[in-house]
Amino acid sequence: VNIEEFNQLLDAYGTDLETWPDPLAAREFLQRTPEASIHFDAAAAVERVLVSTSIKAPLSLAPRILENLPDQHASRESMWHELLSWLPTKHRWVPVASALLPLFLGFALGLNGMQETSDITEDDYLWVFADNLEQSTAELLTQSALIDEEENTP
Amino acid sequence: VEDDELMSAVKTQDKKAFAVLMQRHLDSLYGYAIKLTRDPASAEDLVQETWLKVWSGASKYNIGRVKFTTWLHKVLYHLFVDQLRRQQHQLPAAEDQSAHDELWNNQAQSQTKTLVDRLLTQLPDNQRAALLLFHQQGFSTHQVATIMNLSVRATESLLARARRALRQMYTQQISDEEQVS
Repeated sequence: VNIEEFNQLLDAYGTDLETWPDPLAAREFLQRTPEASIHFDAAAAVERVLVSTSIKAPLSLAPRILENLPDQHASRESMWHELLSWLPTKHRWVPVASALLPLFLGFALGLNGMQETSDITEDDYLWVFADNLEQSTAELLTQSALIDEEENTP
Repeated sequence: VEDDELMSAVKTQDKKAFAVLMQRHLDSLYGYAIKLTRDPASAEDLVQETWLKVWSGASKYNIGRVKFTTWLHKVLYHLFVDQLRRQQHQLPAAEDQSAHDELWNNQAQSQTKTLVDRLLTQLPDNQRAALLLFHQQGFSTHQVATIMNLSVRATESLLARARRALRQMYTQQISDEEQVS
């Protein structure tokens, strides 16, 4: 290890020699090289200052931050929570059931609508069928009468 | 209560949990911000903006993926970078610097501390940010890399350059003072 390599390791790993690739060689070099000690002591002084820094935030800062918190999302949340609060909350299945409720409601409404539609159309089909039958019979009678007339004409 | 538990509550807009979490990390975050910005007023604004972002963007925090403090510092660091871009990398005015020095002189009597703090301001912003995250805030190289969106190798290199610059400036300053006396 020379002084350049020592300084490179000092910059890469800091002053904790245990984290260096070869702590023993580094320690020996430091003990016998005054120039290395100067650099090491400077780095250690800098690190000590950086580590020991403890600064208190101004007392007014925390209340100011809390005062400025936006509420929009909170109000949307609270509406949902209010809706859920109408339902009993003791059981775990309640939120799931409340989420599935609109699905079942929609299914029931759809089923009911289908039944009503089929009731109406059944009668309608009968009337339409009867109407068509009557119309077809009348047409047939008219056509056969015309044929008879044609056959009877000389 | 762990930070992640509090963050789960913050995700449901629990203001009490948010207040506990903020009080827990406020001093540390402010300490980092003041050394980054070199100005108490800017540091307060930056910290306030960071916590508002934590509140409004809590849903973006993936519990268990990174430590809360890593995510918190990442939010602050990137807000700081945005701020720098907006200011087009302008250095603070001379009066800001004197106010900063006065603050430090009141808070710490040590000459070494004052000197190191002054030298820190002469480092490039990214070097200062990395050095403070590693030494002052106690993050690992991996965490610093995550916060600064860098590779681990790039972070190691950045930290080494910062240490070298600071060490050289410090040694030079000490030797100049010795020559004067």
